[in-house]
Amino acid sequence: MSTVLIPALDTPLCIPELGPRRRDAALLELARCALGASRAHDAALLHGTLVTRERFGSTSPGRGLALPNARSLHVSEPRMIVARSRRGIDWSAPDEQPVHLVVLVASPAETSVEAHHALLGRAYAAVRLARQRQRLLEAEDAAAMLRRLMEALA
Amino acid sequence: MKGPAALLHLHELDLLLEEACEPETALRLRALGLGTPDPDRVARARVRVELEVDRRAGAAYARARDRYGRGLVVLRDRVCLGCHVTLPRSVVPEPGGFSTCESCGRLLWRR
Repeated sequence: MSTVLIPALDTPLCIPELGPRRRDAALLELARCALGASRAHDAALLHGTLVTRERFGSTSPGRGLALPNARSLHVSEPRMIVARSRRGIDWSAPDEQPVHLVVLVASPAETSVEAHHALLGRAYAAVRLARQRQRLLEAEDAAAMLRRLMEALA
Repeated sequence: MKGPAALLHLHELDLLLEEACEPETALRLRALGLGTPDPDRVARARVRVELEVDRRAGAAYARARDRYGRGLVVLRDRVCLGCHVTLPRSVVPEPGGFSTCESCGRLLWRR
């Protein structure tokens, strides 16, 4: 797995291929990516928060997309991660389709609900259309994913 | 889940409960094709986790939550991110540990 790391909200992180096929394992990989290798313990706790959120309702709106998100003590600055899974992940989506594109949005705990939802809305706007999702799924590597995502976010 | 981890989990559930109870949440999440966590379910989960929390820490957390809306804040570089007072080195816990802000009384957690 190659990952482009740019630590700012306006330049999200991209994972060209998520290894796990199960949702909770995929969330752990995303949490580790969000917080970095030096914060494995915090990543485990963030993972717990994300899994807990899923238990209160799937964060997939269907159409092969998932939007896991959380406000958390373990996050020190807003993070957006876009990840692909070519084989698909069972995310208990309402249309029962596997998820191929995951957009994680993580905000610090002190972020207001409104601000967190605004960030989530911005992330969703970049992948809402089928052609936007297709462009991301067809990108050849993480750098290409990032370019296409930045175009969609602009 | 016991002790410190339970307190962190309790806080995360309170953040989720805050989101679930906010009137605009349903509208915003529906626009994204997502549902809203059921506040009653989150509240029930919260009750179960609260039983795992150390009684003294739980009481301090509850007092701060009642007073400030949040019972737990991050301690960053000796600064309480609740009231922004710089604390003396003697009360700074190890990473992952807890302390209490001498100024505002909030529980502090150091990443």
